[in-house]
Amino acid sequence: MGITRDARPSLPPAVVSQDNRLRRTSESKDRRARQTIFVAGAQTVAALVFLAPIVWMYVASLRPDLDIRSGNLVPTRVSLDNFVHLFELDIVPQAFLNSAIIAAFSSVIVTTVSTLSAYALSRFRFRGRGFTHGFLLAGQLVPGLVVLVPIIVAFRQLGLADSLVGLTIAHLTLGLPIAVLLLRNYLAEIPVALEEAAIVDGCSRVGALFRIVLPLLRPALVAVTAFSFILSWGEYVVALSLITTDDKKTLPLSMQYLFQLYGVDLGVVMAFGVIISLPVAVLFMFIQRSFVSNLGTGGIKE
Amino acid sequence: MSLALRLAGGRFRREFGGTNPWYYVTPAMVIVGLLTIAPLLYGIYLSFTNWSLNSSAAPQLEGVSAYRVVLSDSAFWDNLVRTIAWTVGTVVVEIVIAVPFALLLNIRTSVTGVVTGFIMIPWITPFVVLSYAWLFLYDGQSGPLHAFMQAIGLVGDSTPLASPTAALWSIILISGWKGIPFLTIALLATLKSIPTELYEAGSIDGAGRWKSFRSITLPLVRPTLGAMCVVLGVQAFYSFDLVWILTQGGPGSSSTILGIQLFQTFFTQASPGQAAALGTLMLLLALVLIVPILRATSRRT
Repeated sequence: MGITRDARPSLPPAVVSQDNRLRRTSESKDRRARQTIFVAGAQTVAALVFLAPIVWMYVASLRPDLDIRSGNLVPTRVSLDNFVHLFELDIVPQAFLNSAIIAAFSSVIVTTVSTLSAYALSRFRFRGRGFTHGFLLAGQLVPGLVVLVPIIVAFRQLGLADSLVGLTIAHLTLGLPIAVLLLRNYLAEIPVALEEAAIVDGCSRVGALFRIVLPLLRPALVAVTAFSFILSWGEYVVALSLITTDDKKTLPLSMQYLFQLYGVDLGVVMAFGVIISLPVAVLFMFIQRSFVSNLGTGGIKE
Repeated sequence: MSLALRLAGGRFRREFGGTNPWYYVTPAMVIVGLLTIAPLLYGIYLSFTNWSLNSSAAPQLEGVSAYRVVLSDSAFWDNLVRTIAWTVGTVVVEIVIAVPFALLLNIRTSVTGVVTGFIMIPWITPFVVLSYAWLFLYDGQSGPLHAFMQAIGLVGDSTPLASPTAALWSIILISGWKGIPFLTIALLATLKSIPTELYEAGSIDGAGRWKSFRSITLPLVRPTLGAMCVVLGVQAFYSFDLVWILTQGGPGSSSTILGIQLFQTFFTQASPGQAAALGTLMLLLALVLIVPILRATSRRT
């Protein structure tokens, strides 16, 4: 918009009129500032009302059971007792470990595999490219619930039921299609000329991928890995169907188990909710920018 | 692809095999093939077996008898109606809140970035966590939300989750609430892509705020809204987690949607054949429901 800025009329030379003009702009600036503050306030209030259930959970996790039950919304006694109590239960650290292992392995595999295929889809022209693309995205179109029964039946026959390996494998489908889609969008924005130059300079195709493309792709790789991690971390129905042994339970299953045992103590259950959701929320805050901006570029043409 | 790349590719294919695209796409295709496509086909096979763990150890083909059992059960039709109400209700809650939310956040202020980041939290928080938070919010004795709803006469003394008339819609509210961030962000992206010149031209032509919203914003946002409603509607149609954790389909069957029925058929009744038939029917139903919506939204654009 350089032209319009240059073409903006300069201030008139007469001192009186310049004085008026300044006063007028400062008045409208004041009004606009007041308006902006009002809108900012409205946005904050709307977000707080919207997030109230989550805020309530975080506050409740710090309060004794008795205080929450009193129905009084303002906390009077605040402590980390619920969290201490929570980690004294054997199932909690175990579930934390199980979920972390499953989510870490499945998300790293998803990112690796989808980076390779997104790269081929965006850089090579080959027979069957359209088919491959459609095939990979079909994963997104088939709902998990529809394939739940056949997957559980097959996993039982293959000896993958009630095993962390089995659940890790089952979680691979969660993030894969969206990862391929996002990485392909990112790759489309990286100029091919960079790799061409590297290859002309004697770099191999794989070398160009590792030395040129992957470093440029890093924000997308982080976002995709984190997103797959988040999906696996909170996955419920497949875990519920596959896992039966207590020490193999993931966090969502353990929270349910804990509620059945300690349902009476609201504070402890809410503390478990915080333990499960806080890592995910923090992780998302890191990738939020690249994720939201990618959603944005999808909507904007040119 | 440029000539240089193709030449270089030719040289390096011989040396490293690095440009054979199938090396790159095969791992992902194996995963999708084994974990999505093959189960889909296996599920269709199972649906023609009427296999029950109570009567036989191995599936045997029995034609359409599983479908006949499922379709002749009046509970299936009740659950279908409930699932459609659930799906429509969820999407309506999402639209009613997300549209004004997106319009509000489209005005840039010093807090917009932070607020936009934070409102995504319900969307990425696991269902289990949200379920228990809401379970206590709805609690009949100490739940603040229940107290509020009771004060305005919406619910009785106990939690709405225990009421046959209120259980379904009180979970619909949670389901819609969780989807709001996704729709808001998608709408926000579209709103940002509308050139301000359009509004300037509108105001020169004498259009007020309401008029310019109706004749500029709404038509330009509608395609996104339509596409997102399909995505969110499909997601809602296959819901399971929230309802299972909160009511397991109860009280009675007042909140049993098809996802719950599928799980119960598989685990409680131990009938993988019928559960697979139900799954296949759900897939067909979603297709039947999606196609007219897609056609309607694409015609408008």
